[in-house]
Amino acid sequence: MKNRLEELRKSRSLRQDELGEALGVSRQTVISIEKGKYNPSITLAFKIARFFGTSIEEIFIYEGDEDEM
Amino acid sequence: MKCKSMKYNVISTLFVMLLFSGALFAGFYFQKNGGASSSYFFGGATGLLLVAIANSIRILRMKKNPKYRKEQETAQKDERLVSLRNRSTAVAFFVLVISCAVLSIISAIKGDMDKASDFSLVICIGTAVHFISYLILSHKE
Repeated sequence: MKNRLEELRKSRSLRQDELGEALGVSRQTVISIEKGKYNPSITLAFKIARFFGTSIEEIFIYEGDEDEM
Repeated sequence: MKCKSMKYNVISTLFVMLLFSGALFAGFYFQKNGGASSSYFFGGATGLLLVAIANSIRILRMKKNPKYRKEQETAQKDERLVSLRNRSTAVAFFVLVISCAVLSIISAIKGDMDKASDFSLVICIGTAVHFISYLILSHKE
């Protein structure tokens, strides 16, 4: 799953640790999400979307399951 | 004490201290009654004491340093870290079961049936607890 978290964070001039603090997660988790290594839970995805004032679909792009391809 | 992680640390330290007292008591009991296993209990008690000391240091640091306390709180709640902890626990359990199975077979081949049955018992208890907790959790969610 791709995401636009890094782009949105940079557009707000936020550091990874600042975003992590706002979302209640560690800086490492923000890094992992940005790199696409970790897919957040639906709760965290909603928190992220609410924080940036947008919808989940605007941030996370579902490209289908790897097994499906 | 408003902080949840602090509460959790204090409770876990008290629990470790309780286990430490139990292990120490068992060690002295077996030493008095001529049991050869007293050294195992003393070894376990030393390990538990070290855990309690490490926990106490962490509690003191959390009390003195609010930034560290916040970091610890985040680390405890962070969903990625929680999932990593759960996965590593599952791997540790799997390795424990496999190790016990191998040791049980080796003990049986060597003719030490007491040890073989002890290792088998650990596997049985572990898998039974796993199955029961799975059933309980699947009913909850």
